[in-house]
Amino acid sequence: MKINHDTGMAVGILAFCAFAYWQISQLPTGYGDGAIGPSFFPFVMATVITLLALALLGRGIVFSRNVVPVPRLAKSIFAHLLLFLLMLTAYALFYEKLGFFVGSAAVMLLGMLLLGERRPLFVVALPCLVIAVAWLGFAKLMKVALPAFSLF
Amino acid sequence: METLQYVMQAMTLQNMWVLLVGVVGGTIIGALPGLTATMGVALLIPMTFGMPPVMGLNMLIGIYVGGIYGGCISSILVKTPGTPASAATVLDGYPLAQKGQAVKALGMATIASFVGGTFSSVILVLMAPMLAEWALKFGPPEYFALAAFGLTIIATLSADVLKGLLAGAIGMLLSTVGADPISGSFRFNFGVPGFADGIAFIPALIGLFAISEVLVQLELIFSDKEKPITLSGTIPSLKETLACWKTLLRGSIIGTFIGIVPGTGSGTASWISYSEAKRSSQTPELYGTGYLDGVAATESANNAVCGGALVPLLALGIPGDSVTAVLIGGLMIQGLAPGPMLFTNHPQVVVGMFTGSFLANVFMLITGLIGIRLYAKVLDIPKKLLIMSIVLFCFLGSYAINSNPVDLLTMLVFGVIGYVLQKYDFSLAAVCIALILGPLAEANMRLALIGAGGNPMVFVSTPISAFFVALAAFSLSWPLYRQWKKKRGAASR
Repeated sequence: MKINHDTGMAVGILAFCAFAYWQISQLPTGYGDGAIGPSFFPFVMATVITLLALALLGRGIVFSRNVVPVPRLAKSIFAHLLLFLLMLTAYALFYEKLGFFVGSAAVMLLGMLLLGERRPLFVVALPCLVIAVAWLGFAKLMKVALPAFSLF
Repeated sequence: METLQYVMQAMTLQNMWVLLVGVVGGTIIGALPGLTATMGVALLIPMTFGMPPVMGLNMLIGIYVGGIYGGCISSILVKTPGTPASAATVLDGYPLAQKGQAVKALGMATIASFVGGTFSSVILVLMAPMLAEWALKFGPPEYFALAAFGLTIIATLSADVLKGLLAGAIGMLLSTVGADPISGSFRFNFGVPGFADGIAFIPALIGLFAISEVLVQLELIFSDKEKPITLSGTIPSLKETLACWKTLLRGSIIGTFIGIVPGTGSGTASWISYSEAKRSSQTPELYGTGYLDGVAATESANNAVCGGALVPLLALGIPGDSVTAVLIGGLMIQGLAPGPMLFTNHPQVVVGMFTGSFLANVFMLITGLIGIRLYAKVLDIPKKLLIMSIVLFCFLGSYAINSNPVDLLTMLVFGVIGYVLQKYDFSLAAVCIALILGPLAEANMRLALIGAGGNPMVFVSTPISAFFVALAAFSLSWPLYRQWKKKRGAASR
């Protein structure tokens, strides 16, 4: 079997379905006189997804020549995207500890550097302005309680 | 008399100011290539959290109307559609700009958007209450059949029917995370307290539509080439505008009714309107060469979708397109559920939204005609700064609603899911609509089945539910038939 982007995706979805079935098996099946309990609808949907994924797999194999390949990311772009996502994950995990100002300033600075920007106006000055505007909009105008620095 | 009172309440200075901010903000978002009206609404929903319902919802309507309109600016000036809805505007708008008539093209786009938007607002006011009154007769079987119809139209949202259905089904399964709607027992929450109420909808939306777009734009950023922008010419004269009246009316009708049909959208409307205008024209050869009629056709249709798409959203709770699907989030954070009960329990909100829909178009016309040259400057904003600002607002917006850091991770996970799905041609709107309709479909399906002792024939036992089941079957089979016919035609050639 030749792996193209349809078959690859279908196999990934089937693996997800296997996990979903295992999770559904842990749920109560029903109560009263029927089996229309909490697991009923997820089971129906997991079955529908499995059938559709099998159809996608079949289509990917039979019409493999018609499947337009997804352009592969260049290694450097992939590395940049991964770094960017790691930075955002760290930002999310430490959002409350770092506080809005410190966390946002660090992410804006690192993000701009990661995107290849080196001019001080764009790396420091304008991001600070954006942070100030965001703080004014959410904290002052909308009265949203934003986290303060509490790492130590 | 009461209605007039609600209209006046919606027209307070504060409400109108917020609506104006929404229209201008939406226009700027729409003008920036890569940023869509859907993303704008998703990103700014949290801003409406502390606002009174009418004010908050009208701000979102303003962003919607402005966002769809704003797409024409970059279509005309730099041949890059700001939103998919304005892709067809490139055909005549950009050649007009090249002829030194950019302001004329932008002026016609503004007038056409106003005509289309106002026409669809009239239809919204006339149709939505009637549809809502009819929907009051619905019980669980009818609601399930309606939700099933809404879900099957997902197939038409995606260019690839199979992937559209898969995206919808995955969205439905994800909607079952959290407490079971009938028994209250927890499902798939993996012991995380943040998932007890299910997946946080707004952070998921922000992830799907904004973070995924940030990742797509990051990929493009290294190959982005600046295009020079020149503005010249004058806005269209009254004579030139009146010469396009047939096209404007046709586009408005097409856009409104395409908007009402769930699952279609502004992009489809503008292409159909353009081809219809060209087909019925006595000078079809002029289309594509910088013809004012071409701009009128596409822009009247794509803005007419706005009012049309609000009809099924408000009356039935079924979103007409991806923006209205996201708009449901705006109703949800105000504690409101779209559907017939909204008309009964919160008439002031419904009338306020109707009023907002009209006013948004008026503000769009005024700001559009006055600010043509200013809006063009938006295209000079450095993309890197823009992307980082969007990231900042995504985090703020996702955190602001529940002050829960788990919501930030939900947003990121959905961002990555959205990015992968986009890469593999899956419809994000389908996932979003399924997340919305999933709980409605599940609760009503199970209630109907329990009430009927497990007999599935309950879904065709009343004329209304049988009607929706038939519509669902049709909307599911029609795209499959079309795809099969297309393949057969290609094979025979």
